[in-house]
Amino acid sequence: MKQLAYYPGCTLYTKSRNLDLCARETAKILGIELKELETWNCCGAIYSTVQDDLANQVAPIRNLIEAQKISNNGESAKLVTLCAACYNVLKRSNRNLFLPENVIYRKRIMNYLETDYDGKTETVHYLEVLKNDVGFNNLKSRVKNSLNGMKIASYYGCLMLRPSDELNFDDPENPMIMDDMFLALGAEPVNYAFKAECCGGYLLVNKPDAAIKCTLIILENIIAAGAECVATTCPLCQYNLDKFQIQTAKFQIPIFYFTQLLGLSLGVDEKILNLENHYVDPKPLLKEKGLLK
Amino acid sequence: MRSKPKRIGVFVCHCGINIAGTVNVPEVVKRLKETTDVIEVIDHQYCCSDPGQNLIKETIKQKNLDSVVVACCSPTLHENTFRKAVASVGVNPYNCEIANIREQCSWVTEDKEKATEKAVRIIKTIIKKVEYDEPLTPISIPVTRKAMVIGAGVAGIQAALDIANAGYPVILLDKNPSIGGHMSQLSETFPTLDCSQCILTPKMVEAKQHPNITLLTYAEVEEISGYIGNFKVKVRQKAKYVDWDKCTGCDICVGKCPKKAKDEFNQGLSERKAIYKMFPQAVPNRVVIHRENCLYFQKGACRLCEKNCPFGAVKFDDQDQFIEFDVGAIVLATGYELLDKKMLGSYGFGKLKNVIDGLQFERILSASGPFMGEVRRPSDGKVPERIVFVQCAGSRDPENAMAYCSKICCMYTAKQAILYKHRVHNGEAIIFYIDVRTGGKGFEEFYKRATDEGVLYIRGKVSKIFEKGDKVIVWGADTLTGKKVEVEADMVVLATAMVPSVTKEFAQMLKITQDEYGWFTEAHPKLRPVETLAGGFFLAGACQGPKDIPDAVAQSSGAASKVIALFASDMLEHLPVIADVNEDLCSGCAVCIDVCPYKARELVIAEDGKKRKVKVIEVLCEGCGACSAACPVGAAQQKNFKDEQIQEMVKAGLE
Amino acid sequence: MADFEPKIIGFICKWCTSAGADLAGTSRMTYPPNMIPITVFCSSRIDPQYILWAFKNGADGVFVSGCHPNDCHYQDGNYKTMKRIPILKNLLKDLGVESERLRLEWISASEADKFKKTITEFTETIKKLGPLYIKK
Repeated sequence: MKQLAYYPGCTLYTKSRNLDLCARETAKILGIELKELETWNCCGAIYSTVQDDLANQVAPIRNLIEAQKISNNGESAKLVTLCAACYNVLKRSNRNLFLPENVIYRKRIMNYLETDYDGKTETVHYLEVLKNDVGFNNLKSRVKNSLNGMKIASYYGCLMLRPSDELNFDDPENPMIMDDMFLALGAEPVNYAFKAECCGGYLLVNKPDAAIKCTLIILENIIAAGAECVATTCPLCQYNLDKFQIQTAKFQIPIFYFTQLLGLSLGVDEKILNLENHYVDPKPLLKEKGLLK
Repeated sequence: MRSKPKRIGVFVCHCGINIAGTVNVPEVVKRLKETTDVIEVIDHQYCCSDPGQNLIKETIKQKNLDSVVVACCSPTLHENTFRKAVASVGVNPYNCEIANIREQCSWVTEDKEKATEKAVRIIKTIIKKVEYDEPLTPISIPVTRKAMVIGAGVAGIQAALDIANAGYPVILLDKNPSIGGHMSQLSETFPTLDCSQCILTPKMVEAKQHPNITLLTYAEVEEISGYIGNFKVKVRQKAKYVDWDKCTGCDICVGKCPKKAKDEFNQGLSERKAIYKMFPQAVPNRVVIHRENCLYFQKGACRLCEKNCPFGAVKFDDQDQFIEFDVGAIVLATGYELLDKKMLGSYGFGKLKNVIDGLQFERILSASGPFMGEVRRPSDGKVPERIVFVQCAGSRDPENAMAYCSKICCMYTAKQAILYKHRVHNGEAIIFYIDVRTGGKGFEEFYKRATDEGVLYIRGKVSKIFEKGDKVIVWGADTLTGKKVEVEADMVVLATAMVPSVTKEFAQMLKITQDEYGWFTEAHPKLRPVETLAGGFFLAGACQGPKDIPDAVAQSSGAASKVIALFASDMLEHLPVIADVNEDLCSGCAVCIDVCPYKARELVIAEDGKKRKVKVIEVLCEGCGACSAACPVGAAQQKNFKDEQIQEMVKAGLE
Repeated sequence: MADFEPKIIGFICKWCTSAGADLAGTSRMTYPPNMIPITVFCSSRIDPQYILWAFKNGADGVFVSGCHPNDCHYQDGNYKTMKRIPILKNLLKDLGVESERLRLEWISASEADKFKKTITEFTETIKKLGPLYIKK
C-alpha cells in the first residue's frame, strides 16, 4: 500500500473528527495509507496573532521537516492535509521561506529548528491526491453507492484558492476539482456564483453580524441554484455555513465535509461518517436519495 | 589593402563663428597639410553655401580628386548636400564623408587649443575612412506595383480604396464571406450617432466595384515569402460550396435550409442557417455553406438548397483552393476582437445569459439585429428596465487581463447608454467607470450629453456579477463615497477589452513584431506610426492598438500613402552600405546567420559542391554590421566599415 | 600627473548616441575633449577586437554606447553588445588592463545631458587611473 505523510491539524482531531476519519478510511479503500506524522504541532495559523511572525513560520516548517521522516519511495516528501487553513499556511510558508530574497530571514528561522531543511516537502491537499494519485476515472470505478444525481454545491471558500499565484491550487474564480470528484461519484455538481467567496471566517468571533451576512448570501445563492446539499473542505466554513442557518432560522440545507460524501459512496461505515455531528440533520436527505437505510 | 593611393581633398568649414569661434581653422588646415598625405586642404566660411559647394566641385575637377572629406556640422544635416554636390562632378557619393567638428567638437569645448586638437583628430579618422571607402552604388530592386490588404474592415477598405484610386491594383482579402469587419456590426457611431451601416456600405460597394480592387473573401493567408517590392503570397480560398459566379444572392436556399446554427454576425444572439449570407448588405452579396453545420455534410442527406437553387449554384464538391500571386507591398488591417468573457471570472465567465459584451449590445441596438432594433435581453426577450454598463472590463486590469486602456469604451458605453434611453424611455442606465476619458473631437460634449440625458455614472470597479432569480446582481464600489454598491439589474453590458485578432503564429510567419499583448509594433512610436520594421509591411487600423473609426481610417490612408510612395517608381533604392562576405575566408560556420536580425544571410554550397559558404541577400541587409563583429575569421565585412578601415580610424584618432 | 590628458576612443552608434552627442552640441553643453568619436551604424558592429586594438594603439580608455535596450534601430543589436562587453571586461583584467577603462552606456538621442555627464565622469575616471602602459 502506498504511504503518504499526513498532517491532520488541530481541528480534525477535535471538532471535525469526521473530516479526518473519513479521509483516512477512504484513502485506505483506494490503496493509500495516510501516515500521520509522528509528532506535529499547530500549522501556524493561530500564531499569526503573536507579535512577531517567528512562531508563525517555525511551526509550519517543523511539520514539513517531520514529513521527510516518512518514506515516499525515494521521492521527495509529500505532506497531505485536509483543512484549508493548514493547506494554505504550510504551502505558503515553505514557498516564502525559500524565496531568493529571503535568505537572511531563512537563516533566522532555521536557527530555531533542530534539523536542517531543504524546502523539498510538498504540501498537497487530499483532493489533489484523489485527482492526481488516484485519478477520478479510477475513483469512478470504485464507487459502491452512487450518489444518484444528488445535487451538490461544492464550496471551496477562500483559503485553498488565494493567493492563487502562491497556492496554484485551482482556478481562483472557477474552481472545479471538487465538482469533478462529485461527478465521478455519480452526483450532479451545481454551478453557482459564490464557490470561492469568503464564509466570514473568524469574523464570527468579533463581528458575527458580518460573518452571518457572508454565509447567508452564499447559502441563498446555493439554494437558488437548486442544490440539495453543500460540501466543504474547511472546518471553519462548515461550521459557519451550518451554524448560522440554524441560528438565523433561514435555511435548512445539509453541510457536509467532502470526505463524508466520498466515504458514503465508497461504502465507509456509518459510524465513521458520524452524521450526528451536524446542526442541520443530513440523514433525511440521504435517506430520500436511498443512500441510508 | 588599397590598390592605389586615393586622391583626397579635405574641406574645413568655419561655419561663421560656430566652428571658427573655438577651433583655429587655419591651424587645422596647416596641421593636416603637414601630417597627412591628402592632395588638398582648403577652408571656407560656409561650405554648405552655393559658393562653398562650387569651391568643392571646382577643386575636385582641378585636382582630379576621387574622395572628399568635409569637416563641418553633423552628417545628419548636410551629408546629403555634399554627397549630391560631389556626385555632380563624377565622384562616387559614398566616397564623400563628413567629419563632425561642430556638434561633437567646437560647440562642446571651451578651450580653443584643445578644440583645435580634437578637430584635427576627428578629421584624421575620417580621412582614414575615405582612404578605405569603396565606390558604391545603391542597390536597385524592382517593385511589383500591386498591393495586398489583409483584413477588409473599415481600415482595410479605406487603404485599398486609396491605393486603387492612385491607379495601382489591390487585392483586398478577408477571412469572412463578406467585407465590412466589425464596423458593419455596429448600430450607430459616436459622437455623431451616424448609422454605421449607412456610412460604411457605400464604401463596401465602392471597393467591390472598383476596377483596381480584387476582393478575395472567405480566404486566409497561408504563406508570405520575399521582401519589400517582391512578396510572394499564397492564399487559401476556403471552400464555399456555392459557385459564386452562378449565385445571385437571392436567398431562396436560405429559406429552405432546415438546419440552424449560432449566428456569428449577431455575436451568437440569434440563429442563422447552415447555408447563409453574413448579413443583408453583405459584399459580395453571396451565400456560403458552413460545412460543420450542414446536414448533408454531417449526416449524408438533405441537399434541399441544391434542389431549390434556381441557378444550380450549390456545389457540394467544392474544395479549398490555393491561390498564389506577387505583390510589392502588404497592408495589415487585421483589426481587433473583444476579450473572451471567459477570462472574466468574477463577471460570470460569459455563462450568464444577460451579461453581454459591447458588440453584442451593438447587435441588439441594430435594426438588423436579433430583436430588430428593440432593446430586449437575451434570456427571455424582456425589455430591460435597468442596464448596468461596466467599463474597463478586462482593460486597465494588469492582474487579471490587460493593462492597457482600450480607448473606445468610454465613448461607446456613453453612446449605448444614450441609445438605450432613447429606445426605453423609462429605462435606467448605470455606468461603472474608473475614469471617463474623452480625448477626441466632440467627445467631452458627448459625455456631457449622456449625463444630461440621465445616465448615472458611478466611479468604481465592479467586483462581482451573479444571477439572482431573473435579475443580475452587480456588486461594486463607489470610490467617491467609499461605499459598497449593490445594483439589481435586468441586464449587464461589459465593455470588454479590445484584443488583437491575429495569432502569434501569424505574426511570426510575417516576421512582424508584436508587443506583449499581440498588437503589431510600428517602426517608431512617434515618427513612423504606419510602417513596420520589416520593409514593405504597413499597418492600418486597430491591429496596431485600440482605435476608434476616424483614427483607424486616418491611419489607413497614411499606410496607403506609404504604399503609393513606394510604387511611385518601378525600382527601389537600397542603401549599399551593407554586409559582404569574403568567400575565401568564409568557413561556413554560420555564426553570422543567427546574429542577423533580418534573415539576410543564407548558407549555400559553393560551386565545388563541398564547401559551405554564407551569402548575403543584399536587399534584406540593413547594414547594422552585427555579422561582421561576430565573424570569427573576418570573412564577414560591412562595406565601408571594414575591419582594417576601423582599425586605421582608431589609430588615426590616437596618433 | 595633473596635466595628464588621456586619449579616449568612443565607439558610438549613429541612431541614438551620436544623435545624443549632436544634441549636447546643439544645447551648447561642454565636456572634456579627450574622447574622439567613431560613429558606426550599430553598437553591434563593434568587434571586441577594435577595443583591444584601441588599447594597443595608445588609448587610455574606450567608451562604447548605443541605444537603450528595446530601442535598437536594428531590432536587437544592442543586446549583442550587452553580452559582448562584459565578457571583454573580464578578459581585460587578465591582460592587466583595469576593467574601468572600458565603459558601456546606453544613451538615447534625447539624452544629451547623460552624454555630457558620462563623458565628463569617464574622462575623470581615466585621469585618476593614469596612462595605460601595455608591454609591447
